Amino acid sequence: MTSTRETFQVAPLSRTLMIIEVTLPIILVVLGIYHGFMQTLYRAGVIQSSSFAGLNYYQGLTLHGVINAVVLTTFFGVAFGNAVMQFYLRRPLIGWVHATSTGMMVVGTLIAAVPMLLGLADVLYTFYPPLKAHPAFYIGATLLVVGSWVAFAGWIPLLRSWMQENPGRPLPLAVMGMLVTFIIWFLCTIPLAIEVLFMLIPWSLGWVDSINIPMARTLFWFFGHPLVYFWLLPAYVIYYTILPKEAGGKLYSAYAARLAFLLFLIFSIPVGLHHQYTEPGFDRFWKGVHALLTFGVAIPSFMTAFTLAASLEYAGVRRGAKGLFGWIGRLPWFDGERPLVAYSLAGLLIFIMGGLTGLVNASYNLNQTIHNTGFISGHFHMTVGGPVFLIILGMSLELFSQLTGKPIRGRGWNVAVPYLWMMGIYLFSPAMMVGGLLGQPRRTNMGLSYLDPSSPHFRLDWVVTSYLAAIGGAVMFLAFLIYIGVWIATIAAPAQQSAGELYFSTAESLHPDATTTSIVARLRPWLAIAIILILVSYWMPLQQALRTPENAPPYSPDNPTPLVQVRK
Amino acid sequence: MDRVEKITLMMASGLLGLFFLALLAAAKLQGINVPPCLPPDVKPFSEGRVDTLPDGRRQLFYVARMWRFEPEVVEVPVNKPVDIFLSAADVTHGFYVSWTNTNLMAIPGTVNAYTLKLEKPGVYPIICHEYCGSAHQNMVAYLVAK
Repeated sequence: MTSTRETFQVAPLSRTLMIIEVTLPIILVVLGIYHGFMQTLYRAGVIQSSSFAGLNYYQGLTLHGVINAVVLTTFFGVAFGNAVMQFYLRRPLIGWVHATSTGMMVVGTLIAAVPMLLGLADVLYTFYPPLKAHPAFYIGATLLVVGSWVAFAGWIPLLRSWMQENPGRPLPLAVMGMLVTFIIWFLCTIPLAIEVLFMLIPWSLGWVDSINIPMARTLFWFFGHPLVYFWLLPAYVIYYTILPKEAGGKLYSAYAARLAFLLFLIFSIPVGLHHQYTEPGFDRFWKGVHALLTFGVAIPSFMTAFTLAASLEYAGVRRGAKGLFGWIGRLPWFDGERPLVAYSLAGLLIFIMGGLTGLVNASYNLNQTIHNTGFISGHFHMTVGGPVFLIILGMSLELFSQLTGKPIRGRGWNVAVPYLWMMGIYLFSPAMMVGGLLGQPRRTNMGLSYLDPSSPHFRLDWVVTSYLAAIGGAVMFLAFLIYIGVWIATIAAPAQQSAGELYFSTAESLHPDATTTSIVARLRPWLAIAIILILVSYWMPLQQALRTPENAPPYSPDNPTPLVQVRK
Repeated sequence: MDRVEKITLMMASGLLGLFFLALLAAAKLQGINVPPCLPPDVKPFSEGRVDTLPDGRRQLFYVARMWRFEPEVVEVPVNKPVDIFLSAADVTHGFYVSWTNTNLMAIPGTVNAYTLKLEKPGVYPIICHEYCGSAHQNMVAYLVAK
């Protein structure tokens, strides 16, 4: 155990690039969060209009999803991965590879932003055809994803050289976690690339008349569910490495942590059909197989809940806690010097309900009651809008502070953000879920019909829940404004440490970690199982999607006439 | 791995196994299921209609299009099974009969199917719950159970 802080000095070029990687998405997220709050007002009927302040509801909903769930998460995964690789492997990134990757991601984001801001891509972040966006939307998104592949490729030489120099050691846990994250990302973005490059782009440019919609949807969800583990696993890395140490203890078991990451590797992809239970065209048997595998991916999360609770209990006892539950009170909940503890704990408290409601969604026939209702939005705001978003906020600020040498200002305000956000979520999400059980649709400008008392479609039974969701939205918006205030205060203050010194406090393992020969220290067998499961679970569904009797031409979201007349 | 962790792992897997068996029981014994896969020779249709089979069973053929359902208002008998078939004439739409398990996607190029039984008389709104363009929020039809 070393007592001195062993930092890693980032090279000047990588430092600049990483500052861009953490700041650009946070700036865009201001717009994404603004429209998140606005949606709750439209849905409650507070705003009864198709647009407000120049932004259409569905245009804003597209921005909300694309910025918050795709741009922010991808940039963060890459920035945090870059930091983890440099710090734990103690090797600089290859400058030109890093510049290429960041450059592609920034250019891709800007290219996709133009049609979204002009209202030429009101297709939401799932961009389900046959609604068609401007080709620049698909091309920009492709560049963003390929830029993240380049970042991943740039880590491989660093990993190889570290392994050659350290033959007797398993990969550091954080490195292994990020490696698994990006293997999942690479595997699942292949079907996305097939959908976008071979179906959507040629079709949006008018080179082909019509495409197979069930096939496009299947390829999308082939990508779309593993995507959520790409969002979640960087947060797990922080929970497993930084949180136990900062809380004052050790990680209960690094061995179990490695096993959890590997279970995610095998179970996170062959599950996409659980988004398509209510669609025709697939045998019930295959929907059931995906349901069973989705239950499988819950196992590593149950393990994580146990390991983290045990680690936090150990930390509390080390801090002098007595009794069965005394450890809870001893944790540094509000320590302004350890803001990641606050961001982590609030995120975990949200994720308990996020995980359990996820099991409801995965539950095959139970999904009939909640598919595409507000229940779904309520659920995923307790996953991607809970632990994922809070860890991204907390860690982005931390990385910015380390990269610029500017200490975080407003430390008390900073640790208030996650708890205020949590209160907002615990108003918003239950309201959305109860509303969903009452039949409220997701992704719908309800103020123009269901929540307008003068409309023939007015639904009195949806009033209470949509107002509660709006109050929750207001609390979350307030939390985010405080967070932006902390950023501005931090930027405005002068640097006090040397810039670009990375440091992550890292917990030791209480129980023995794996050795290099152990099954959880090896990736290849698990990767082989993952690929076999993907092939088995998707072979027949893809065949069945191919049998679709008719293809579909493109449509604009504001016109029922197809943009292309199909030659029959 | 620690003994407590092994126990946790087994308990979590056991619990999930139990949940899964409960879902299968609901599907097999109670008949609560997801939509079936129709044979590929069932072609999408572009006009909504109501049929009555010789034995009196009602069959509703819905077409979802921007931004209405056809037929818009249909009367159905209470407590009798009614077959629903669903096609999309343009983009993807949703079809959710309020307060029931009839929750379907209307996917272009395909036909979806479900059997519905309304147990109480009343008016049941059918909500389009998949974003289908600028007037999506106005896309509602009604079932009247008598």
